[in-house]
Amino acid sequence: MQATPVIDLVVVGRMALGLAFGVAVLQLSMSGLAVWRRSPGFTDAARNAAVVLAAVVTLAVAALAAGFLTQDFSLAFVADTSSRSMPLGLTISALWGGQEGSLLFWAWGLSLFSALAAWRMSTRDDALAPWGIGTLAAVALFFIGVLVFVSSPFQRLVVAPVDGRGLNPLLWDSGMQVHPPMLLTGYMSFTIPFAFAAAMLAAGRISQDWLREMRNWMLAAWAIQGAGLLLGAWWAYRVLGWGGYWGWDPVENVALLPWLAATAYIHSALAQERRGQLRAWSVGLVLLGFALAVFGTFVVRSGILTSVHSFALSDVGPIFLTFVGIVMVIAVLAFLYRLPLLRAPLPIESLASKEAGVLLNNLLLMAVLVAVLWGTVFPIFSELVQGVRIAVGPPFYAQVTVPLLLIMLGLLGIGPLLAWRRTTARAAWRATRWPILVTVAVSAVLLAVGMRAGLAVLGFGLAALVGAGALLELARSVRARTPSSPSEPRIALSLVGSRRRLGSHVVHFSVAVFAIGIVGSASFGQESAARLAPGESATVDGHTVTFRGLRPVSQPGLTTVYADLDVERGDQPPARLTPSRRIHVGWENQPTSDVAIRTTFPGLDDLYVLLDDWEPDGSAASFRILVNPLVPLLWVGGALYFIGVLVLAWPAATRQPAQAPAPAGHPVTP
Amino acid sequence: MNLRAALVLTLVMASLGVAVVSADENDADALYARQSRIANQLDCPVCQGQSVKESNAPLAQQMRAIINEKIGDGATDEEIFDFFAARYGVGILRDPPKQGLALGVWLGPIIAAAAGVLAVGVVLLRRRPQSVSTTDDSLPELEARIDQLRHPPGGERT
Repeated sequence: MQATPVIDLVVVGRMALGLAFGVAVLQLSMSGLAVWRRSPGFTDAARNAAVVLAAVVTLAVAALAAGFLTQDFSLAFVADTSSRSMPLGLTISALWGGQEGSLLFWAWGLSLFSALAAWRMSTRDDALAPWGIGTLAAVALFFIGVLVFVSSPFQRLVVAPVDGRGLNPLLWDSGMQVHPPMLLTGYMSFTIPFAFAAAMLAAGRISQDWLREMRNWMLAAWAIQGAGLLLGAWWAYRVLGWGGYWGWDPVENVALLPWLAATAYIHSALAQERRGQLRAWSVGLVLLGFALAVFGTFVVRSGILTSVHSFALSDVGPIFLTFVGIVMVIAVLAFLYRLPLLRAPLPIESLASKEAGVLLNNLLLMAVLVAVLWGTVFPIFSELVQGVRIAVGPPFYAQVTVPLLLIMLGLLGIGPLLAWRRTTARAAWRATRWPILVTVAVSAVLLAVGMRAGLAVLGFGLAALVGAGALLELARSVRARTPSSPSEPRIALSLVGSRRRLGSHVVHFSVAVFAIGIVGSASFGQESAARLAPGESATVDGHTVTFRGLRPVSQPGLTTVYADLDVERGDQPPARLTPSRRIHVGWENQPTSDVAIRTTFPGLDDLYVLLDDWEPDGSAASFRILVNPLVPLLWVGGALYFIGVLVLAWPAATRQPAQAPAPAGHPVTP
Repeated sequence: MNLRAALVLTLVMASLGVAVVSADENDADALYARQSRIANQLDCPVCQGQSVKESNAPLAQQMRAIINEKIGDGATDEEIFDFFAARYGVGILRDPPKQGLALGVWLGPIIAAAAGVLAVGVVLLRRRPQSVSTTDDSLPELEARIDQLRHPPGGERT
């Protein structure tokens, strides 16, 4: 079927990557010269190199993509991650289905983001730009170096196989097309704010303009990583088939860490911007975010932590660890050296103030971050110390993080309502009384209708606090935009300011929705297992599930066994659910399940049915049947989170005429 | 007063959280619920990152059968955990025991949190004397004045 290739993709790819390496070296040395000679000409050269780099890496990606599209199995990576039986959409996503491809994707994203960032740097600040562009070059150089010398996606197989091995069946899912690229982009995008921070530390100058620009890039990274995490949860829920959306798996944990650091930063940057406080801390969080992002990439790609994701075993681990180590040592030293520069000019005045709330928020987020990081690396640590690998599972994370998250919810309900600087007790009460009353009312009603799970009453109550507070603030900020008299200083609020406040309320509201989903599914889930012969039924939480029979369907390279189930529940129309198991040729020991999910309204329960096992003659099959209440709210909350992020991060279209001619906010398109 | 109120609120919420989390689930009556709860606390020795409950590996299936058997024999959860820990090592327990080396995993976050609280406290206390002392009634004018100096009208505010 395969035509003789006109263009040798291995040669094209290797040349592109080799060229990219050279361009990155050029970008780095031009940046160095620009710093040394203080000449903007070299800065421009470095910036242009960044743009060329993006083009060259794009060419390498195109070569690999062409390899997948033409099914050129003489490319080892293509033969390893794709096969003829894979549909087109999946074949494209096999690009990030292995180590080499995903590192290439990482480097590609970085080169594109870097080109844009380098452009903005060079137009902004002559003294800081070369440091920033140089930092971007150094990170790009590392990744491209790994791609060229250690883990090349363009290895040629001497004898091209007739068919490729194909993706791991677990990855045969539409989620594969969105979750990995989003997460890889998320990890990658932490590099940009890092470069802004590194430039300020290296040059020893704080620029308000750069702080703002850094914040915008960090917002982008935060949004993308958040979307990656949400998509991961959605994928896990639909595909991994254990009924949950978050398993405290090491790979999930390390993806959460930079997002937590970014969340802390978003809040501390607010105090930094408004009051000049927590400045050193904010810069530290940017450095931490980048270190955790590279650490996350390292963990995913090194296989050091065994997890369900560890089909990514590799040899790049030590190189990554060395890189993280070097970056961290330099960053920490530079940070400590420049600490006097970062000192806050104004003290925090009162514990009952918004900035104190931000501080507390950061403290809690850091506590969660440290606990998750510690739990994730502890198995390695214990193995090194005593030779015993201590398992750290969900019970640990639940016990440590749930109290912290509950306190955070309470703080989230109250903190945004407090004033900057200080709030008197009376003003604080006036600002928070309605949400608190709503909370008390909600909890009382829940107790009255017989809800006895303490965690649920508390969790729902606090979610109500957050939701009511966010709605109240939303109403207030809409009202604040209509000035009561022309001389009101409120007019001075730029549209950007209100939009950011608006967005933050939407995001906070999404946290409330999210919290309800998590609390509901964690507290009221029901699970049961049933072994049914055709015609037999099982009932779980009012849902009657009747087994009608098995239906094997064979396709080339794949056999799917469907189980037909009729589902009934009092008032709901009857429905058919068909959970299945797929058995892929070459992966017979890894049958993969396709969960059948039915969402019932208005209770928002998910009936979640999994085909476990069956008799070869079809006389019986075992199922796991779960009822997961309120899980759909997670996806609603996720959508709201995204809308809120777009509102608050969208670049300003109009500017106040009174304002100094500042450059417009840059596009943050996740 | 504000400070005290904030501290009390934090403490109350923290203790509520802890109380709730440590409260026992009360629906472990059914055999399956208990079996899957126990199985969920055991790391499947031959799988990667899955619990005995989630895994479909033959060993995990055997282990689930053993759990059922032990429950039938009237064993307590602790006895079942001890049985598996003796066989496969303490590393199999997903909820790390609060003793020996595994204690470290519990102590880590506590020490870190304590250090964080201490650091924040030190920062707040050290800066407190520097704060402008004014009587509350002159505060609004003063703040308005400072605001004008720091954010001239038309300047970006958030």
